[in-house]
Amino acid sequence: MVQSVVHQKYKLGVVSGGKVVFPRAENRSCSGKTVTLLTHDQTAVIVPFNNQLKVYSLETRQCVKTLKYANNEQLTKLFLAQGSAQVSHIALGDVTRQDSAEETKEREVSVFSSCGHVAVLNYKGRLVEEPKILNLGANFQPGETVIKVFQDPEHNELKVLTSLQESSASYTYRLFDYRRSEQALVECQTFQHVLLSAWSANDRYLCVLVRDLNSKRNLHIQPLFSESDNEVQTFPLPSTTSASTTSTNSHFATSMALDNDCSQLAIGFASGVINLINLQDKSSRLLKWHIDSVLSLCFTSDSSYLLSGGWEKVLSFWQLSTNLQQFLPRLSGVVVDCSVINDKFYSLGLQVTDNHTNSDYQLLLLNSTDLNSRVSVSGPLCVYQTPVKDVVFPVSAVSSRSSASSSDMNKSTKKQQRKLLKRKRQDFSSCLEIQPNTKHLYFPHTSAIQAYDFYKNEQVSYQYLASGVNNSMGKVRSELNLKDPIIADVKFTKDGKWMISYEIEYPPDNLLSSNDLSHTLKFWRMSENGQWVLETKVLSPHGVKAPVSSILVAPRSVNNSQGCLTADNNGGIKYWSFDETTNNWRLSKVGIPNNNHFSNSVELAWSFDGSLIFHAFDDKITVLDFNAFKKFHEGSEKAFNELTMDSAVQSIMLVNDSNLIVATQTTLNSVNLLLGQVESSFDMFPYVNGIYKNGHLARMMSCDEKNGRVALVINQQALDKNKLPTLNHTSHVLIFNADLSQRLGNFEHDEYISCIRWNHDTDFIFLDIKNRLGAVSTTTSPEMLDEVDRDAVMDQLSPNQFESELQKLTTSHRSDGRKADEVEDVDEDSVFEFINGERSQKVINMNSFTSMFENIENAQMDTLFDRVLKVIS
Amino acid sequence: MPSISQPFRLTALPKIASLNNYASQANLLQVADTLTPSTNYINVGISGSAISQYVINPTPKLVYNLPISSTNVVNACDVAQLEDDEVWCYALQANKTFSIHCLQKPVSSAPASDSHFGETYASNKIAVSDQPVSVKVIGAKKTIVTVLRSGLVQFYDYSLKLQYSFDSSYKNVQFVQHFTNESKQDFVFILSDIQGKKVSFKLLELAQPDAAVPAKELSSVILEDFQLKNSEIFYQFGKIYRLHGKSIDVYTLPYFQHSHTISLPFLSKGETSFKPISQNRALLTCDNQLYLLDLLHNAILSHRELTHVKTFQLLTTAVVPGNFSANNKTIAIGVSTKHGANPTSSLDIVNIDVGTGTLKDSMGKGFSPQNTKSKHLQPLLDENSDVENYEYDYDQILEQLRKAAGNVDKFDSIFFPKLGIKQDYYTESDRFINDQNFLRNVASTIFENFNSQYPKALPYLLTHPLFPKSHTQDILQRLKDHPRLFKQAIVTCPNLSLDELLQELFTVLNDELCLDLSLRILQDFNKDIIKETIKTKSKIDVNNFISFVMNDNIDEDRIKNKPRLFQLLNLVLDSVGLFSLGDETLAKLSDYIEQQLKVVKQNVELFNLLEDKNIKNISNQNQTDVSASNEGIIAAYSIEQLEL
Repeated sequence: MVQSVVHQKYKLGVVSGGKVVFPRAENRSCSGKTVTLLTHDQTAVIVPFNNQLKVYSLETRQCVKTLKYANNEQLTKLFLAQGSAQVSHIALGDVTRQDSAEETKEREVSVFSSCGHVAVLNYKGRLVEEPKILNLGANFQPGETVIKVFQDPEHNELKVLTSLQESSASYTYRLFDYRRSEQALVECQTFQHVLLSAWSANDRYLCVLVRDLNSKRNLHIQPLFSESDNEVQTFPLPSTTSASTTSTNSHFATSMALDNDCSQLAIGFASGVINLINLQDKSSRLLKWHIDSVLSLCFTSDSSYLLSGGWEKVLSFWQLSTNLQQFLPRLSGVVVDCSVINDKFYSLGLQVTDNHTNSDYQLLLLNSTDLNSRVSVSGPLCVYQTPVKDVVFPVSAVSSRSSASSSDMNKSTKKQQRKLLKRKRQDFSSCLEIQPNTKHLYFPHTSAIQAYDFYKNEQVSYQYLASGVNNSMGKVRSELNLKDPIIADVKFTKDGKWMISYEIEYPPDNLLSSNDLSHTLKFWRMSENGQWVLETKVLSPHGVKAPVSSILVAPRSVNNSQGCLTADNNGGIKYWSFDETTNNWRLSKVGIPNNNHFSNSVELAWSFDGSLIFHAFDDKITVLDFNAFKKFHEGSEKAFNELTMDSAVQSIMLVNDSNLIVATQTTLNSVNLLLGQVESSFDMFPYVNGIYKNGHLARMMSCDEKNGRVALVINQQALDKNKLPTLNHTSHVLIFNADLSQRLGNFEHDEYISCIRWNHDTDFIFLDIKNRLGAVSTTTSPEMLDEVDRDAVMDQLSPNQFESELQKLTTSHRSDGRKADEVEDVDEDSVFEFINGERSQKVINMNSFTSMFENIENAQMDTLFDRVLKVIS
Repeated sequence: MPSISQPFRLTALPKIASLNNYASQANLLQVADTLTPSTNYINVGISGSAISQYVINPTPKLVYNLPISSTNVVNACDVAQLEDDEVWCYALQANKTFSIHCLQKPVSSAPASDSHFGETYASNKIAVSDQPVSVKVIGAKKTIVTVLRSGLVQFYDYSLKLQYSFDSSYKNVQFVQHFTNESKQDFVFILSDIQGKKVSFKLLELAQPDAAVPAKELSSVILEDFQLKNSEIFYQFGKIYRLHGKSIDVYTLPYFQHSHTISLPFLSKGETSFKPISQNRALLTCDNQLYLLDLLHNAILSHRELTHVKTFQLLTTAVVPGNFSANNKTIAIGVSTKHGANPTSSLDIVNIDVGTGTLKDSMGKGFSPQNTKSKHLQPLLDENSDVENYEYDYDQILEQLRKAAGNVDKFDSIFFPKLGIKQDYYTESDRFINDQNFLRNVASTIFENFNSQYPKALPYLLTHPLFPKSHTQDILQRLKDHPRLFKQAIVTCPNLSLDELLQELFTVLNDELCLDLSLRILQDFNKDIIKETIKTKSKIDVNNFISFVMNDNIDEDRIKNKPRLFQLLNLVLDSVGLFSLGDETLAKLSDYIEQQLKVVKQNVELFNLLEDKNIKNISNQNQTDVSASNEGIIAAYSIEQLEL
């Protein structure tokens, strides 16, 4: 229909998101999982993400600086390339410098990658363009990774600990000395069959639990930087119980901690028991409180307290002199790591295990004096359709979807990856909605919802929308199999005032009724304090057991946009609207379902003027008259009220009120509704067939409602040299114009994109399976400005624009006649407008005024003034 | 639904040659621009005849008449109603002298007779220097605003005393439009021709004549390459539409910026007129064709051809404000001129329903030219060369197929290899055959040329999801003699009509087909539609079906189909009502249901027994199979449903 002649150029950038990296989480033999670094002045902490390093100020709890790998070519190669390394250690200063006398600069940090590279970066000021990068891992074996770097500041020595997986449970550790003069590593010690390791917080002692040839488990403790052999201790792992009949869980050590002066060793077991060994006399005592695996342990620096955490989501403090306990409950995730930073802070590594499709890590920094949360670090928390590769779960006494048990440790991740590789369906799609007013990204996350600010790259809020066990406490043992309600979909009304959430509740497992899911629709209003408040809850909106397959919010022309449509998997459709008088949402219109036909390919579209609804069900699109809530022109054979597509419809979008974009399992079509004809079609089959669950292709498509641009994501499995599929993915983002006749952009991205959404402005925001957020956005050059302003010809609600412009004109003229001080007022207003950025993208150049002087004859002074204003404002 | 009704006559025009001339008649007939959709009064100045007021309802009638000299031309005419009075203002031209007249009179009600022209309070007259292009009575300001050809904007009071004059500085004013905004401010814009294909646009704000500045220039634009001469222009809700040639240019106020161009490919060469009717909608005439256009969606909402006249020219329309108003009915006034050497003209009124202005009204009625780009399935990614892609020369294949029409083997030997079809049913690799026109043409060719024996292409087409809807009408009837095709159509052909399917179901005697039909009906349609359609069926058919269901048959298909037959029986009984059945049928029905209930009870007991046994010999593997097969029957219907 109405097409503007000038197209803005789109470009793609991965600019936000990312997830916190727990580098050692994948390595079961390491007790400490997280890596953080307190800066020189102890006011900030550096946290590694999978796409950047973030510096958080401890004072303001805000991120004060990000070092994005993507901004530097070398770092991109190191940390972002396919199958690349992770950050495995960060140290202050340039630790690799050849001459020890050389001063290191205050703002430098050395970042160790798991492959053995060291990069020296500035964490203040500008990122170094060519950072110093050393490759120390030249003589590493394949698969060998750096897990820890030990520093001895007194002697200025450096040791690097690496590990190589032997079998699913045991590792070979190698300890290297760093030779400054040669800038290389020299192996100094090897530990075979390491099951578990721990080191003291001051980097002086190392403890490893090894399995010897007779399958006996021995503890080996040694100092790291002093050569005296008499401090090396080796003794068998003491048993926690005397009875031999107990389960393997009571023998399975899950976590270890060693105190700073090598006097005490704590070993946590899968059964929940902590064995505290006095290393002087080898006496031991048992600390019992945990009822599932102890996942994290650490001593305070004076060795008087032991911190422990596990599945309970509670951090426990043991006063070792009295055996008294204190708790910090209601943490947001399972405590997989705890450590003491510089006596002043506790750092907790938390994992939200309810999301079994991804490892959701959060880092919490607590002040050790008042235990107030100082900094909470997390990226976007996303739930994917199927678990992505390299997901790691903590060990539990029982096996469940969100935990690994001691017995299935043997099931290696390799097996899981093979399964992933073989599977045809590669549906890692995810749900993401953008709030129209605040532009916050909303991620449904199990029974909660996370609001995320794309531009600040910070979590805004995390709110539970459904009640479950998880909201207040952790689940342990058999509770792990209880499934909390899941937020399956979330939508926002166009005015941004309402949130509509759809949740699925699961009955307990192993019952006859286990498959009887219950469905709930909830309507939330934004309260003044920024929380969503539940206003209306509808149980089983489409009848008992009937799911809601699609939700569509009303256009602005219907009930002030306070309405929505829901469709079930049987062809039924319902219209819900907010009723001002009863202050409640209610069912307003019902379209009855089919008899015996069920399908998950259900999609909805609504014309901007609210008159027509397009209801795609399986391979048919039915046009409904919204007022009558019946098929449009029912009974008339010739009316254009039904479309049969070539296969099940996966996504429909109404663009510019005249084109219906229909994606089926085989094709992508643009249907011109005014002519009733299919205009352009594209072959989707190779990229869609069987890859996505029915209906999920809609997550890969979005439409800019202002100008009708359509974005489509294509994910492909990357092929290796032999043209065999690998676990890696590449993706394309295609941007089309409203009727698909023109391709305005084609961008590549190196990871699977799981969702793309229009941000109610000019950009499309996408999420990839590394939790990174990117934007496909337009750049507007000044010469196009005039056209851009008029792009919204289709917007029926814009006639007021004319009114307002007219009003502006008349008032501006009126103000001319006013007294001088009033004129100043007006000026202030316009300045204010300028600050608000409404017009800030306008650029004035020497050509801006040229058109003004054409036809200047007979123009009144006022008109001339207006023209000037028009150009500059 | 948007519609244009047949025009009816307001009055016949005097037999003056220029009134029959299309080019001049619009200038000679000045209808006061006061029409609203609900108006009953029409004021019109007819050059050389009279200034008249008509009522439309209950029957078009003259209620006030003010004769003018036969040499006088009415340049402009406007009326404003002030409580019970009306203020009339009109501009007359007699040769080169121009005058403005103003009169006040009570609102007329009685029909005017020749002797009685109605009561008049006051009548004033003033001579002006140039031709008035527009007069406007602004009731709220008690002012008359006139715009002269010379560019003067003059303010008069009702006694025609000049209050204020403003020079818009461009001569040769061609178009003047008054409008008010939401806050009831009055505006006027003036378009004047400038030499060299230029036009000046000026937007003025009108204030009280006693205000400091009664007319204020808000914006002034010079438009290049813009001719008013061959354009039809109107203003509507902040936009200006300009028809010239076969396209409409849309401009937005207040700066007169060009927004977009709409081309009208359907428009033939002829005499056109173009008037607004509602938001984004306009009336367009071309000779005797009358179009109601949606200019947002580019659709012809309604079209009427006035066969009894040669031309119909729109004079004024009553504009329906906004999009969603409850009242969509309005009127348009035009002048129609009959055929012939000595034509007559008359003022006609057309009733128009403007519709809702929504997509609903425009669906499938678009007039934009079709996208001529290839209809082939295009690859999504260019660089990916190893993705298969086919393009067919549909025209050529169709040509060959038409040549082979009548010969089954020859037809198939072209159809399958040319389109690269490997199976004799549709598979996803045939997705490249997606041209609906082609499929329609092939289907037409087959149905037109084959009768007794169909080529294999037909069963293939019947499995194609894009089988043209136009050919699904009566397809079952047509294929009835070909059992395989008949069954194929029932099972796979898309868009079968429910009417036809039910007809077949009610007359079917074959249990296998009955199964297919009932599956298809219950799959494709919802209960309401099925019930509605059953109501249209003859009673005999319905009775036949009921007895068919009751006729207990132990055929395997029948048993498989039982749950669906019950569903259908349920729907049939719901829609025809139990009491419309004969006593005999009812008795039979109740017997039958009782008997079925017995079977159900028996089955339940058996099932329980089996289950007990299952629990006892849990090790026995065979047991699970038995229970699984029974489960289907038990679960498929429940007792509650039958008690309806």
